[in-house]
Amino acid sequence: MNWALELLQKMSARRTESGVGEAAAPDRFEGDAALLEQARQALATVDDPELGLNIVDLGLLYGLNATPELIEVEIGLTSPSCPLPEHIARQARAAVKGVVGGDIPVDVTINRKRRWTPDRVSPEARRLLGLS
Amino acid sequence: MFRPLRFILLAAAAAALASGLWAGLERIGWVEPATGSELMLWHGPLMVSAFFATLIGLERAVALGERWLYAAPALSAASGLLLVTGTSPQAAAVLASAAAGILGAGAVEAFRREPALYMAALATGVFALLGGNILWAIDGLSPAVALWWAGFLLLIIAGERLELSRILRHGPLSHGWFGIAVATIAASLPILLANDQAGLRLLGAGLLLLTLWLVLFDIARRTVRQQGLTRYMAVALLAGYTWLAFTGALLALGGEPLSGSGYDAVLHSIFVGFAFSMVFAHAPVIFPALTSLDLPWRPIFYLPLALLHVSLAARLTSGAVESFELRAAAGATSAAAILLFFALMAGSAVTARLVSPQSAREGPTIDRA
Repeated sequence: MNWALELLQKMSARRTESGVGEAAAPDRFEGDAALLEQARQALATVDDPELGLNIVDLGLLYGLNATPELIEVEIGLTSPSCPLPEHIARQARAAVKGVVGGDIPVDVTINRKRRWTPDRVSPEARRLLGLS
Repeated sequence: MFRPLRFILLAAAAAALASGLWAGLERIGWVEPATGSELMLWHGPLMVSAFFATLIGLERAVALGERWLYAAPALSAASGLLLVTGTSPQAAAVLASAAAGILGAGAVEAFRREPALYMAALATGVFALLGGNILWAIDGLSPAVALWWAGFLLLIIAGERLELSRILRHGPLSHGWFGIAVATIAASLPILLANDQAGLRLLGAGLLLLTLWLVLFDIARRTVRQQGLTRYMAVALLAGYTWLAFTGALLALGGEPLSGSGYDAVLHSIFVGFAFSMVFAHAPVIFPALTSLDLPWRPIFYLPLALLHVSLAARLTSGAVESFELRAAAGATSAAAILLFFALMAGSAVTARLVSPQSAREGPTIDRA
């Protein structure tokens, strides 16, 4: 499962190249590779309902630290005026707990400081919107 | 997590909405006003400075994660309460102005966090609410106050649409166009006070510019191709845009008198056709966000949406054919559509709670502001 960790880190590096503000900090993906991949796939089921795109493809997943003792998820917002942070955090926690089981605690952090840019959107999401 | 303050504010917004709708039914002659009641006079303030301002103020407070910002919806709700009880309309206007002032401070804080064109549009919308409320407090209700309130909703929603559509990576043409549309709408408001016909025509031009921007650059044109809730939201948005275009054309081409059926058409196209369509679009997302309750979207939500737009079309037709009976029936149907929508949402939340009661429980979320 090391390939999954490497893939996440490559995606992270690519996404932060053109970031601004705190976006210059790299995304963090650490811990057990199998758990990381499970958690990432679970988070890819959490959608922004208006866009119909999941938070991973939107580039809102800033960090994952997955160990058998604790899974930490750091997510961002597309804008400081977005009223959905708690809602998305709740769904993210439920999604991750749904795949890793109830024994591992899941902490979700909302990072309001880091500024999101459209450059973080994945090619797949852009294709779904008819942009490429 | 159960958040009592949010539920209290939402209940206050719901009370303002119900009272505002009832006042509207009294105005169009669908129901008889109670003896001595002045409720019908406060239809506009209840709908905008009490209902919309409380709801939007709460949404802003949650978005920014600032406790002091909850004072804005609390004051808006208190303003509505004063109107419903008939205690002091003057004090209601002052409270509504104070609420808008706090909301303005929130808009400045949001702009400070992310200085961007869409934030500027959001802030301009809030200052239109502040201006309208101050005009109300100083001179009482007037058509100009109603149009400043319209500016509030138009500019707030415009800002939100640009914010969401950033994913499309707009270029200078889009940003320039949007900026001119927003500036035209904003400029029309003070001009209305000096020369109402010039202000109305400028407002109409601004609405047309904004509608064209929405048609060309808004993401709803793309998300309407998706399924379920995402498509429903896009349909509601696009339906609202048609009323914006209609009002823009009405004002820009002919101007409209600030009274009678033309005035009624302008106000209700903006407040019912555009603003309530936006409410119908976003409520299935915003209410779960504010309450932590699950609220699954259901296809039946299309029914009140269709009823809202059909009844508004009937209302505008009633003005053209001068039928007070049709106007009353159409207005009552619009009110019924709004109540039906919220009843369906409540039903969906209750059903979800019964099916999956554990979904309302959650652990803590760390909010790194």
